[in-house]
Amino acid sequence: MRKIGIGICFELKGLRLYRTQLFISLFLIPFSYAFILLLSMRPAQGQLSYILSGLTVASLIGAGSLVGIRVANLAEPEVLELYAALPISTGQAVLSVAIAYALLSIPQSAVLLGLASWWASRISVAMLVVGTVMSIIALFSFWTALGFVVRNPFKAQGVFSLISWTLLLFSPIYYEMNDLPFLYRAVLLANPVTHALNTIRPFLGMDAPLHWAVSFLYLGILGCLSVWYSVVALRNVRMLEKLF
Amino acid sequence: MSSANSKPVILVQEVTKIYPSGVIANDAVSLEVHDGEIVGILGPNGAGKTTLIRQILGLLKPTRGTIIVNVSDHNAARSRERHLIGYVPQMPLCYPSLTVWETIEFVLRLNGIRGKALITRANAVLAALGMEEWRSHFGYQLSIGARKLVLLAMALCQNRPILILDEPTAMVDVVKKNVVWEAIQAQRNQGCVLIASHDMSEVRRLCDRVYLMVAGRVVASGAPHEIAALLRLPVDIELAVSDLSRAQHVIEGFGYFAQQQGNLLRYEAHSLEDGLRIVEAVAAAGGVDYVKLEGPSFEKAVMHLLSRGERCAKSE
Repeated sequence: MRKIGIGICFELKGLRLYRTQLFISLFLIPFSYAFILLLSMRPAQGQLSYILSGLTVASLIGAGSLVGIRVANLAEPEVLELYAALPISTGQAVLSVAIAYALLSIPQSAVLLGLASWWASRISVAMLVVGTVMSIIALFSFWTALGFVVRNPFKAQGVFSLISWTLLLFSPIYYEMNDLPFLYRAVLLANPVTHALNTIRPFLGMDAPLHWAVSFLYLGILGCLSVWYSVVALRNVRMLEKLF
Repeated sequence: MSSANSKPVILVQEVTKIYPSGVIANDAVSLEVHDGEIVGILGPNGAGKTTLIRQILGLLKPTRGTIIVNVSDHNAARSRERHLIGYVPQMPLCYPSLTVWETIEFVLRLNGIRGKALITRANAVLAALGMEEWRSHFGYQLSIGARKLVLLAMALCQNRPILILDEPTAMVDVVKKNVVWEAIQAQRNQGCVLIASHDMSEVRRLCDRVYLMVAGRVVASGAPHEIAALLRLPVDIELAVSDLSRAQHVIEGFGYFAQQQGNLLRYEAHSLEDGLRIVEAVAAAGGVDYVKLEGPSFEKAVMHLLSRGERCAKSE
């Protein structure tokens, strides 16, 4: 744990250089969008809560893709070689990165969900926190696994943008799914983002396309599978060929 | 220094590494490093030095053969070795968004060192490598040579009993090279050092013993002066002279033949001493307008050595 703590500390320290970029992508853009929504949708309070909760999950997708890119970087042969003689394992380094980005995304999620709660018809704070944490763990694990699949930060930047875009497009972040055709709804229900939304919105008093317990189960399974894949990938990391 | 009676700290026995592509990177390589020794692996690019080091580190698995580090079975004890080996990789990687000081701090804190002890040790290693002025520089601001020094500082500050350096002074300037060499020499008291290099002068200066590797095989081993004598590093010399025929005549008198291109004469002397003697003679005979001596080409020296070996084998 001590080494993971040090890893988190230095990961955050290393992000100093990118503070403007982080401020823009994690705070300025989402909150500008939220501000525009507040201006344009004032009468429809339920919709405001719906969109703001969607924006929270959309931001988590953005932060998660950054984790994926960092993991793809850590799985590069040269970086593995750099870590070879340091007293921190690659697994600990990966965990440090994921936790550091999770910590970074918490303030933004808290503010956005706070705003969403303001216009919510009813709120269950405890379950809202549990649902958000569950979403963060499952989505970040998913991106970590993707980082191990790609293993090249340059390729990851392009591929992950496409994946993020697809995940956001085929999820009910900004639109309702109740009136959509069956097939399209089935596609949306296969998307982890839909389930992340479904672990948050019911606790802000919104109707859900399916029971929240199903989404918790879905995210739990997704998280476990992602962690399993990442652990297997860590054990089979190739540096020109397989590590042993 | 080498003690034949003591158990080696690193023991490589008949290690062969064949990559999945079929490339034989190491072919029955054996070497040993004892406590207090600095041992060099000398060889041209692609000789298999880095592959061998990666196997010793446990980053690659040998196809055949045994590697024993610190008297423990390598396969079983890899996690323990992580705490024994300080390593400088060939690739000059760094943490781009951490300063030099923070990078050292990161490594020391991972080793459980904090507070005053951390500051003392970090300052000591930066001073030993002459890097104090870079302490606040971010990794991305450093030159490739400076990054290499940061990697060395990361390895040295951990006080590990085994230090493995893959071309530690590649792209490091001449002044800093001397500082680095002194720091590596000081490691002799700490344990042992294994250096992969293609810089003959570095190996001569630092090593007690040298293994010469070519095409994945150890073709010779011994004290640095023995290896240097074996190689007799050739020197390429280029002369611009006004009287070409006279200069050619002088060069031929030494048993060499110079190729002519315009008013330039090019020849390859067996050694620097030979080359300089000829330049002096040509200058005395008619003057030299321009001289260019190209450093000993390691690849060429190895080719000479191998062809000499082949000639001997044929004559036998």
